[in-house]
Amino acid sequence: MDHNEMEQALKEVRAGDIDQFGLIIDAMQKPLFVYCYHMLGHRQEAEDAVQEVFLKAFEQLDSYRHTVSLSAWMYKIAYHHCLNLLNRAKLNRVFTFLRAGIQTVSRHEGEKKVEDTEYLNNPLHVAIAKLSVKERNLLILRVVEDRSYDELALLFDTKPATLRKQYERALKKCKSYMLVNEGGDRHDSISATR
Amino acid sequence: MTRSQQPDDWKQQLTAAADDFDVKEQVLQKMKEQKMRSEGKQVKKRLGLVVAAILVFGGTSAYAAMKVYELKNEKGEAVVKVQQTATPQPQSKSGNWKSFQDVRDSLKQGEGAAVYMAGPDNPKKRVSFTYIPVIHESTRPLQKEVGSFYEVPAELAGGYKFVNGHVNYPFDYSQAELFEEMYKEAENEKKQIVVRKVSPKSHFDRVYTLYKGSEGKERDGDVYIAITNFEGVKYIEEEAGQDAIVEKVKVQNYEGLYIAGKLIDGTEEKVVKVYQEDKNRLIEVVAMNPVLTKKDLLMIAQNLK
Repeated sequence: MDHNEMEQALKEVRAGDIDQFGLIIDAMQKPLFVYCYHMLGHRQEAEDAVQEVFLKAFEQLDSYRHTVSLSAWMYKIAYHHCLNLLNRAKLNRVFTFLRAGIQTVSRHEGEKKVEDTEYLNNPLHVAIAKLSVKERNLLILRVVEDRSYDELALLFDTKPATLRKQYERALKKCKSYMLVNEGGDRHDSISATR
Repeated sequence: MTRSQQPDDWKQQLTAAADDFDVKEQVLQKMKEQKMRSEGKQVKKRLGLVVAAILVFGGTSAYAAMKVYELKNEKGEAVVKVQQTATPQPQSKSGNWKSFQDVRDSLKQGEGAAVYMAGPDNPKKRVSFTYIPVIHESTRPLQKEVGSFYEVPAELAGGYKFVNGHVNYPFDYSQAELFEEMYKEAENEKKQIVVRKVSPKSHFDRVYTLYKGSEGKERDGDVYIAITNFEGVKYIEEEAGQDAIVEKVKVQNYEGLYIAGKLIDGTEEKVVKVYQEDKNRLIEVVAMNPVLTKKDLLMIAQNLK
């Protein structure tokens, strides 16, 4: 689906034809799943996240401005959604101010990653999981989506040169993690991917 | 991947996971339901998505939000979201609750623990963390611990005096090896509950203070104030029951929310939430005494520094 077809579908959705959003889902669901899967490191979480991202995009269509492509805008929603999920797991929230002297009770989600052995069986995935959220975001968008630094700069309000440096650092880290994980002379081609 | 592999191999490996992924019908269905709801047709339908549940044993049914209230930062991004939902309040099983409290009772101040409760009530094998804070009975040591993040008042507007306060420290929640050990111990030794002492991180995420009025109607105190450190937090999302009152308010030139609802034990709770972007924090003033009114809470929040 090219840019014009996407914009046309968007126009019809805005006019009330929800089924046209199906075309956008067709075009975006797999890339978004790949993105969320590697951001979150968990298949089920990623599946839920993609649905949430589409629903959020649908809810917020009125706020979409054409300064970036629709797909880039959806990645931004996905980024913030994943970031929030990851932060929520970290944030030791108190849910209620219960009396009985119980002042801090937290919820934990990190163990979900343990369940996804499929993810942890792949050395590349393991290395990516060790990167920071920002680094993972950059790496996926560059490697999988071939997004340019200029576009990413618009999206994340950062200078292209800064993003390039961050990306190169992330690649280097990823490569070294993989070397450590596999203990061999593998993955040397990684640093040359971009 | 080996030396001979091309860069595209990475892309291939990363994209392979999506081969059979398809949620189009589910998403479209939900969108249609959303549209129907917005048109006033109440469709109470399970979302089936991961929605925040309380505690390891807090089973609940989650329904789509009926209305969302937000506090935004200067960029217009929502930092506090309160969803008014038809979600039933989660009910904790009393046995689980008691076990959890027993664990807490076994800890000293400043100690933390990871708690895994095995069994059908915890199908996702969640591990909870709990921390027993060091309780300060005067403002000076608490002020020392929180530094310039928040000025701890000795007295609030309305004459409520400081009773005690503490600081909360989060944990590292991604301890895969620890969780595996706990699962194994529960399985091998047929344990219902497995506890491990763990240390929290060194940077605090919240400060709590409790105040009491001169009438002293409440046993523990009348007003709680919690200050959340927003460092590294994009936004906080919470749910309010469908019967809760949620209103926008103005405090110290910041936009805030007033929420009045009921806790899971039936206690009435009134809260004023104020997000202060310049100070990177969220202030919550919570009335534990039903006598306090919205006006009282706003006055207290208005005078905090």
